[in-house]
Amino acid sequence: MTQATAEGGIAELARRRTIAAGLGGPERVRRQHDRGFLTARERVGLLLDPGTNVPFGPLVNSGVPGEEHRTMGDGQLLGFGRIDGRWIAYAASDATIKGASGGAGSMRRGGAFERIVADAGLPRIGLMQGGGARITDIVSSRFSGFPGPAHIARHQGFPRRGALLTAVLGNYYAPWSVADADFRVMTEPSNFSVSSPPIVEEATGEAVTPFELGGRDVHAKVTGEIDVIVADDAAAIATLRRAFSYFPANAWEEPPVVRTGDPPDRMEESLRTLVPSKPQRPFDVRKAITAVMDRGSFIEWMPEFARQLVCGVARLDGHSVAVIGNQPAIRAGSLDAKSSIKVRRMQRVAQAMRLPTVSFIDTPGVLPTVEEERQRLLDGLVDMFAERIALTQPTIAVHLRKGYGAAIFAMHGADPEWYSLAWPSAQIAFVGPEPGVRVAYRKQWQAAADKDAFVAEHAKVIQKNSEPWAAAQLDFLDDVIDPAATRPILVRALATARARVRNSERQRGWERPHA
Amino acid sequence: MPEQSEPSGLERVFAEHAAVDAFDRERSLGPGELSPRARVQALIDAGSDSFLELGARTRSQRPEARESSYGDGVVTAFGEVGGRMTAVLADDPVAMAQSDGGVGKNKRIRTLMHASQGCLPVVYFAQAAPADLPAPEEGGLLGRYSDGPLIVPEVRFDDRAAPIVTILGGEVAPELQALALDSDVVLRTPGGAATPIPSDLSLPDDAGAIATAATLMRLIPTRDAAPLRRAGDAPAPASAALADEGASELGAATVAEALCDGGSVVPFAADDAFAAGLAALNGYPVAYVVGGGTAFTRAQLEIFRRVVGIGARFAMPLVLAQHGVAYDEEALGTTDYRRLVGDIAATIHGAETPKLAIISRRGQSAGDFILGGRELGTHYVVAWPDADVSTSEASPFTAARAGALDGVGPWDASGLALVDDVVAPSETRARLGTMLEIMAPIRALPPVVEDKKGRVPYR
Repeated sequence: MTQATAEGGIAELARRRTIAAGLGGPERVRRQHDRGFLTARERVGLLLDPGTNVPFGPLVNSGVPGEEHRTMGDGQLLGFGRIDGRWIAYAASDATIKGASGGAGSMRRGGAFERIVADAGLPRIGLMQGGGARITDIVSSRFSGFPGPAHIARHQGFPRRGALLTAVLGNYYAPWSVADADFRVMTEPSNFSVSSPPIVEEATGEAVTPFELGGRDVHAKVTGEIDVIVADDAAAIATLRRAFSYFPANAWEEPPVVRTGDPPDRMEESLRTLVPSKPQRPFDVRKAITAVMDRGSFIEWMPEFARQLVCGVARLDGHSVAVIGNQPAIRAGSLDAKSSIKVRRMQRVAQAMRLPTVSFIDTPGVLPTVEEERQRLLDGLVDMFAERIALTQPTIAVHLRKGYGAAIFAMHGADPEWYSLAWPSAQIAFVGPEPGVRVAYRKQWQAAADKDAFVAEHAKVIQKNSEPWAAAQLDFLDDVIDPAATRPILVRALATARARVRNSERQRGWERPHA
Repeated sequence: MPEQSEPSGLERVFAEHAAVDAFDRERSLGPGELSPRARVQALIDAGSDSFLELGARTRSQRPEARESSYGDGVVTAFGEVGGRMTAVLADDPVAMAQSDGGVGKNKRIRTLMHASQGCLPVVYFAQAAPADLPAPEEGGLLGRYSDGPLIVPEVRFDDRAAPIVTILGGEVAPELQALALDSDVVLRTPGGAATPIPSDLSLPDDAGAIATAATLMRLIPTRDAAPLRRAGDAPAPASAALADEGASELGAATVAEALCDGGSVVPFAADDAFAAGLAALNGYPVAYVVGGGTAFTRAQLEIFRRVVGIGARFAMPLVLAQHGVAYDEEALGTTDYRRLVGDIAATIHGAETPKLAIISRRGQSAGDFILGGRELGTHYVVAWPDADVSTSEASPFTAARAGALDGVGPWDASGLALVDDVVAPSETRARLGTMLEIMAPIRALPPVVEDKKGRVPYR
């Protein structure tokens, strides 16, 4: 009989659970707190409804002889719990053990865990810090427990089976769960990058700080690989909980309905005067979004990236929607290579999480600059169009003002399958009136004695033809509406669209599970 | 003499009803045996609307048998059993023996077609002695019923979504055995003792069999996206508690009772060495198998296959508790035994339902054999603290290494993620119940279909 059983299995279980509860020990826990971070256990405590935590593989260790008791949990807490009563799966990096790097034990455990997550269509929430492979442990044949392509591939089905939400809560390397996530939040002091600074220096000789490599400014302004940035761990976890309330558990369910008490028939008089009469004069599209959506429900994503486009999620009569809107206050709301990334991201999330998209259109079109052409504008636009065509979830477009060229299509306008509405201030054309005259009548314009008068005279005609009434008469637009009535009309359109998409999915064999 | 007037339509209805009732009453019944119509009535949920009987006033095509053949050998009805609409066929041996069954045959076919097309479960009270029937070439019944796996080609149950339960109450004519043979569960009362159809459970009388059939109707779900735990299926406390001390010494049947909701267990086998059956756990229906420390006999494996087969067919979660060396080394040399083991392994692996395993004491091969190791696709594996999880029985080799490896307890296995957690016996029921709740959507979601390289094709 072994020592463990001699002492009694129950006593040994209690002893091991105590070790696991202590994470990497008091000294490493103190260091984590000194950096302003919570421990993995504290983070999970904030994430879940009280008393609902079901740990998965809590006694896994590195498997390295002699280290078993010092690596209990092997750098990661996995498990299940509830958020607002809904079951989720969580993975929380434990930076107090081996820097939360992945050893053979945790990778093997990860494979079993991911299988449950994928098969049951559970939403998966990552609280990430540290990470990357534990090179010291897995350079040998011990590296046999990688989850494998089968388990990873389960997440790649389109639409995605389970929602994936990730918080970056420290330095995070090999951040695969950021790239693949439906929602991503990071804290101000965090950073993430594929490789760590020592690896970069080893490979290139370039010495960089973690923040130069992947700090908040890099991701907020340059890569757009983060949706929301908040001050600290607690705020990030609160944001994750809130973001999850907009998503279904998986692509087979519908998003939860959360009534906010905002009347669906609320008229918003302020919208009648929101759009300036002069096409070049900016206004803040956020005012339109927040006035139309349920009060306080709009969460803006990527606010510092491609700022000429505003996007995020919101609720309309309690139903989750994705929102995209041109921001006339920045670059006149034109589309460029970066904003195509932003639109594509929202389209992908909308499709995977079954969110209808509401778009607010005021764009002069694609940004025509040399720099943009060199930034692969063409690829960005074509990819955006391709995903736009593949979208099966409803789209409702509201033309606020300018809507020129291919940008209309990119912004979900002029879609005969779904709904397009316009305010009376809308201008819908291939190109704006003045530039249109200068390009279309170039020779006459150049020959004109009074060029401005020539443009003004001919622009009037184009402008008249760009008004929404002609499009409405030809059925390109479903209606021209009173801006104040946008909310009640969108609520009704959304209800119709939901019924239609549900029926369509049923016909294609989709059934919502009720297990 | 006054002229006798023709009975009115309503009077005729009453007269027919009275005749059927008299026909029911006047037959001779064995002890504890109910008439076919009384069996149906007893099966239907108390308090639910009474059953809808089809063809109550049918009679034999033979003129000489018309007065003694109400129903023409079978009562066919629809009613709620276990809270869901169920098709019921109850053989009437008295009437059957005196008719050619042509009308009764049509009744059976119609009822089974309704059930097949509506994904309704079927309960079949089988008790029809062989009758003096015309041969098939004379257009008789014989042969038509034995053609194909189930009764007639018009009825398709091969890929059925709802269960069929047969209660053997007496001799069953060969031409009517197909439905019983293809049933998911076969119950036997003393009257059916001589029938050569294999049965899963023996009950003392009709009442016991009917109560068990009703429990089975509550337990075995329809294979669809309907909720696995239905409204009103509140979890009940287990009928026995698992204490941490001495749990590993308990017999298999006791462990099964202690894991499952009290009063829900329908045991196909229940002794110290082996327990298997259907039950509810935290209100979720499950198919369970519990080992008792010895290698499986062939008979036990037959039951094992039967139980996991029901689980797989109707996407019932599987709960498998391992205590034993799993297989009989000597018997494994025989083809039949190996085939049984292979069938069980394939069934568990292919079941699209939550699969949970407990290594309660001896889990040799790390539970990777037929009691639900990871290699069989088990989703969640836990071990008790006193479990032995090793590749073979303790030997001088393992004993010598015990110090370095922390022994052959569950600790190495839990450290290497071969088991997902170590839980105390007293925690086991609650943990399994919670995991069933978490994993319940598995049976309702479409399966993840991977290509050869493990990729999931885009839809």
